[in-house]
Amino acid sequence: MLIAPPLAEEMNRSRTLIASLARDLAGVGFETLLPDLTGTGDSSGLLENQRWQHWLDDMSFMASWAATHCSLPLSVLGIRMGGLLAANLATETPIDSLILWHTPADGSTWLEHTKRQQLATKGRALGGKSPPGYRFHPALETDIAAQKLGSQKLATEKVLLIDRDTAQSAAYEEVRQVWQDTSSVCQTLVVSTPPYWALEKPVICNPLITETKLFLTGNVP
Amino acid sequence: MPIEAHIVRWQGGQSILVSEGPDSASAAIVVMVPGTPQTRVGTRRQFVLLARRLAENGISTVRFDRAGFGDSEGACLPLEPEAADLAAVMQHTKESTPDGEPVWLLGLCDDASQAALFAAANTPISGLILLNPWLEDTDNHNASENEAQFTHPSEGPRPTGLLRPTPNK
Repeated sequence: MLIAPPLAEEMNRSRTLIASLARDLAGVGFETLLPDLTGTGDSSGLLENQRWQHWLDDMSFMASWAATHCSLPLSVLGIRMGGLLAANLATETPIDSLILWHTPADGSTWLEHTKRQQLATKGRALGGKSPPGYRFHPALETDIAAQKLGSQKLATEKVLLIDRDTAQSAAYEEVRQVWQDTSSVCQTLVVSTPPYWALEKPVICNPLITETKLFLTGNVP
Repeated sequence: MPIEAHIVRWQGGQSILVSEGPDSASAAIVVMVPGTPQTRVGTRRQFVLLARRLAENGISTVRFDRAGFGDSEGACLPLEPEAADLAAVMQHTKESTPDGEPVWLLGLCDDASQAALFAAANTPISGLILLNPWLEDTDNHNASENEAQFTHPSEGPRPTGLLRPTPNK
């Protein structure tokens, strides 16, 4: 299982849940690769220098690395904006299972929301001294805003889209209509979870982990 | 700039520890404790960027996730001098650091308090760097029987007491 992590602060806030999922998957025979994309986490580089293509290259590299180090079929889990990155990867790289957690159907919605939040944080900071936000290169912002789930067909056998409520149901249904032509399984699922990517304290969402494991181990929910 | 990952175990879990430092001999090593619920990279990667700046200036660093946070196993530990995860990381760091190289401890927010409690109760370390340490709020003692309450200085009443270890019951 290769994971495409969320971006910016959402990555930090999801980390405990992702690590917990990896330990659970190890229990049912899955190895997990959790990369920090270039310019994020422990990886080298600065965030403000990164472009969407750099991160796609990172994901392609990790997929190739997985293929040479492990003979098992490759599954990819994309979380939040990582889901759009994973879907990009899946247009060219053959993947057995693609799972998306709470991925915005439209990258521009995510970008606007994230920018609004950074402004709000700045307003609340004491004495006007706010910590700097996550700085994206203008070209990266353009790329993020252009990402639309379902804009391309996939080279993927099985697909599962999970959201926490029905707010994106109509959009996800459109995506499913596009992707089901090339995938033997293409499902959407609502699993009630807190918005773990936005909460300061880590939350382990067991139903989310359970549904993910069920899908991966062949017991389609 | 060499960067390495190690696994450190303590009773109740294990942590991934990331160490990095200068290409040549290091003048000192700083163990960075991130402040819960942050992970070892820090908010907006501030701990990663600080570690790399320190390495450019001849100083090594060690970063790790506290128990129950990020990649680390186990449950979140209470604020107390023993701090099994920090103790294991400090022991690992001292064992893998050349004799005579100073070992410093840097903590942020609640983990600044944690660093001070640990330093007060354990074998001497070369120095402490406390970023925005939380102070004991003596007005709020009744809130919990078993642990002192720590309040951010910018929230609630101004603490009147100094930081001190959790009293043993």
